[in-house]
Amino acid sequence: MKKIYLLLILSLLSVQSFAASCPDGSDPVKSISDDGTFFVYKCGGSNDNKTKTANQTSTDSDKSSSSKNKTSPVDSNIVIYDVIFSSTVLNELLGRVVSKTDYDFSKHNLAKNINKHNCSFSLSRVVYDQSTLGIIEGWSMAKGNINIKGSDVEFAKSNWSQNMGGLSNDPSYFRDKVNLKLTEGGHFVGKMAYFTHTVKQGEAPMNPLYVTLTKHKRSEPLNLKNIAKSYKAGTIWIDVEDWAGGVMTITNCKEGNI
Amino acid sequence: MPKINLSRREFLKVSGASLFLAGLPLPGFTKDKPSGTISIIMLEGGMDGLTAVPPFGDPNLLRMREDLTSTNFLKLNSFFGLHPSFEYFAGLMAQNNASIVHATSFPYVLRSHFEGQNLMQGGGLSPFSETTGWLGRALDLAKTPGRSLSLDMPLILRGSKDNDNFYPASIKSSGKLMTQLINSISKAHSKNESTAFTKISKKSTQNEVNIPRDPASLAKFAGKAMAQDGGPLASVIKVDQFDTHARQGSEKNGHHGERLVIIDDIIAGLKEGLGEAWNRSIVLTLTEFGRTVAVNGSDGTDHGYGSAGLLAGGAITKSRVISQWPGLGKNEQFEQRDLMATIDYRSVCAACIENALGLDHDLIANKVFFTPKLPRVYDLIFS
Repeated sequence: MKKIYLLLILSLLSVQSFAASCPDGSDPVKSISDDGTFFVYKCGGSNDNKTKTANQTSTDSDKSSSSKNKTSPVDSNIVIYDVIFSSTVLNELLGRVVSKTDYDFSKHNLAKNINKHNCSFSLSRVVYDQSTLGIIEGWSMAKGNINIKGSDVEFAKSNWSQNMGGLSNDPSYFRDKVNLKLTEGGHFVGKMAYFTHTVKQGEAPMNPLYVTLTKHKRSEPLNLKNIAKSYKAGTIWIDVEDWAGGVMTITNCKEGNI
Repeated sequence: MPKINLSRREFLKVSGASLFLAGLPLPGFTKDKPSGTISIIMLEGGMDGLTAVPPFGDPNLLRMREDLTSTNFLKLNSFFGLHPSFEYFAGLMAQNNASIVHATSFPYVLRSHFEGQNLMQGGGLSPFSETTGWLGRALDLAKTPGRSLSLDMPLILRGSKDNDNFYPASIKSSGKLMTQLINSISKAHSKNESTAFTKISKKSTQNEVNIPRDPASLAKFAGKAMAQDGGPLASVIKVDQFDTHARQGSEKNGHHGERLVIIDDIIAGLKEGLGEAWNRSIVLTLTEFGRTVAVNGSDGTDHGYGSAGLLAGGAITKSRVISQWPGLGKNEQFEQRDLMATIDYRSVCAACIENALGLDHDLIANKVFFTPKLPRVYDLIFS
């Protein structure tokens, strides 16, 4: 019976110590003992380095704060570590936040003094799964017109085929996600949004790839001395993925833009 | 039909993320539209803050976990580094649009995913104590309960009964539900019950949304939606697989590094989608707990306590690492195994709510987190 009384008294004391406030009216700080086996309650909000409290900022007693709310203290031990980069690193980092179509044209000799022209184009898929040279599929992935002026190249009235599905039906990709230039050798260089996967109705659409157009060894460049000389003005080969690429046939070039 | 080759990295990029949007202002109910937006990235499994943001200035870091620390981290200052997976986030730090809170956690130390995630979303004082979530309660207080654009309503967004959820299904013929039939049934019921049918009718006539399902695209979609006038004020994107008990890896192509790339892509997607609205937005990550300081026997880490929180957005005007660094010595660790959390992450969430929704800190502390003395860390993040 004495043991029961003792247990009762001890448990009451325990509850009392848990619920009590510190002499200054603040809440006691709950911390974990050195060996991690029991909780320790301390007044005064002292920060014993050997005894770590869980979420100390929420349990520290009132300290001065620059916040507008004086009843919600912020722990003055929180340190702000400023982020400091060297100018070289900073410039490199700032350069990372770029558009997916950004391209450095400085390594190319771009075309000059080219009058306004417009051409038709047809883009076909080339698949490499059965032939290393690739097999050009017999349908157009995209069709439309290209406006050329100087080295500037832009698509006009151009659309991906309805068969491509997914996001390709959004005309803004041909309008806003293309950054191509014409080189003095008659090649297209730069980057553009490119859809290579066919997405059927009900399938989750896929984002376009952003392919880089280069001076491809299989391309037949435009003859800049006389772009409109023949019906077929050139073919631009595009490397896309290891299983497929594209070939853009440019025809029917005329003076003036669309 | 050409075959589609998906690498493991590409597969990971199109899997494992869910988007929830909330806080679409209700005409006639919402009074003053808050000026900001808040986007949450929930990292399920327990992100390893010591790998994501290595405190290389702590001499115990390499001693305790050399195999988990990237050799290629970016030095943010003389003490903290940034994992190389965060390419975009690093750019934002350079632009003074991103900060990190380190050695932080929700006040939960028992290392259970289920309890930890519940507390992380509920924002209460103990797991399973709340039936609503802290973001939902905050949206209620901002008088923008609105709708959640999701299949299910995650706990974090649950608020008042006015909350509603909708997901734009692309299942064939799902948009052709017989609204006439629903209306007829609706008329046969009482006013309260007919509300449910009205909601169903409205849902069935929503336009389909054509977006890819990879995390970055979901984020871009969320950003675009939030940027619209009258668009949602809050978005939640959930990413899983941070529970790296084995072969965690240290570099970008490791398991943990690939998950960090997804966070980076999501932040990039949100910024792209938000456009100009980025300047009034805040993005923050949540995770239920951190990992053990020491490497375990299978080259991974186990459930821990303290971790790191990433913050980004135009609402931040000075990049910082904010921490009360506890140290990584054995006696400095929580229970001699975990990174100690010295900042209650709920105060970080409170600061972000204050910034985005314009609510007073006291109100947030009392009504959202039920902790009147929750510290206000707003000035540390946003001043």
